[in-house]
Amino acid sequence: MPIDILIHKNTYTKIQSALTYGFIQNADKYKFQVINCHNSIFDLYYIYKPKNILLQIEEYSNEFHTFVNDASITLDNIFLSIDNNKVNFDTYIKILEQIRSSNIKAIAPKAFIEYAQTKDMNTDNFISYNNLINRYVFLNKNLTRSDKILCILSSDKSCVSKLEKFLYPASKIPIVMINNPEIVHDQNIGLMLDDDLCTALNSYGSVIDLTEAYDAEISVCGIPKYNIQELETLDTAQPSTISVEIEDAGEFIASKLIMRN
Amino acid sequence: MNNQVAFYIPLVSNTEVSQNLVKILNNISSKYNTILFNSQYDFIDQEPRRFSVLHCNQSKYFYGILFAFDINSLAIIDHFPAPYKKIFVTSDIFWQNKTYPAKVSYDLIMNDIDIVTYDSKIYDLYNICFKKPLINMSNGLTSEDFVNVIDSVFSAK
Repeated sequence: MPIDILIHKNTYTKIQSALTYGFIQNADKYKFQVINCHNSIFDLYYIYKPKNILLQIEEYSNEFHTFVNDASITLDNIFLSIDNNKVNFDTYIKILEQIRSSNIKAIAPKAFIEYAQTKDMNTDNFISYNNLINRYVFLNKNLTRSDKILCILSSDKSCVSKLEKFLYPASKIPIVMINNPEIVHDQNIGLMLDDDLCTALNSYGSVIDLTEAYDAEISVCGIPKYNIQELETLDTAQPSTISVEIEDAGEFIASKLIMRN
Repeated sequence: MNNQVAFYIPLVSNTEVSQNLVKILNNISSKYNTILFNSQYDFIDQEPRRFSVLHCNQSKYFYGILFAFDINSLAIIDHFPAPYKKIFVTSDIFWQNKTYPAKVSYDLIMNDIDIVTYDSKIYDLYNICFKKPLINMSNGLTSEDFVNVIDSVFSAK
């Protein structure tokens, strides 16, 4: 029995996680499988006979490239999710330039589409998203907040250098860093997935977002946000709460990812 | 019930750490009812053993203060409903071990587990990243410090 979409999921990315949750919310409409497709994408293609496939650009390998070229004729759509990771935008553009298949549809943040347009890239086949989250996971739980500061690290390893004077042993400001396990520091507790991140955003006192990609989550959870500069004057600085327009993953899948089923 | 104390050490061997912990357990046995929960006791007793030894499985029914000394033990005892107080004794930054997902570190420490450290740097780091440890045993693991911790916990009851 063919399925509607095969979703590749291996390492955590914000967009892939949101889209997966979005498909779960639309489980009555679409049949889907979430599988790590590395080293087996052709096998999985013949087993599940998907009409569409969703890959993530961070993990776009030679195997996926061969698959996209060979199997694209028989697939309705090949969706390629692009995370809102500004550090890697140039790399993503290089990958997209290599893909010649016509039924590739990149699911990209507005910021990336604007950046791609400045590089003269044709963005007609792009599906844009902005502040996309799963509202079933991220919500304001009204928990008691501690005085700790959650710092969401970007994938740029040098980002921690801006924080060094606020970290132990130079300082005892209660900053807890997450989401870049490659940065070795005693205050970096590693990767935090959606459920835990939501609890953290509901129970920490404030947040510093070095990725500038978590505005939606921060807004929904109602956690005050600091800039790094404000840490200099922590006694007097007042962190500000932010409010942005949220796009729900379930509604996004239903309205923007048009698939025949 | 005010004098039940247990150490949860699944593997007791002849290492220095095990020797030290068994010695402490023996010392504090004069003051409290003490139990060692383990599944393997490969330790040559140097002096009369004054504490009970029970299998790890029994620890979930234990009502008293239960000490764990490594993150794997903590992950197990975390779900036990019976112990009055669960205390994690550490000089280790366990979240730097890449094999533990952040979820484990976050969930465990945020629950009702208390922390005791025996390294001032580790004390600061747990205070910054999770919660303030009950005490930092500045002279390493000693029977006197354990007695202080146990008394303070029982007196707060």
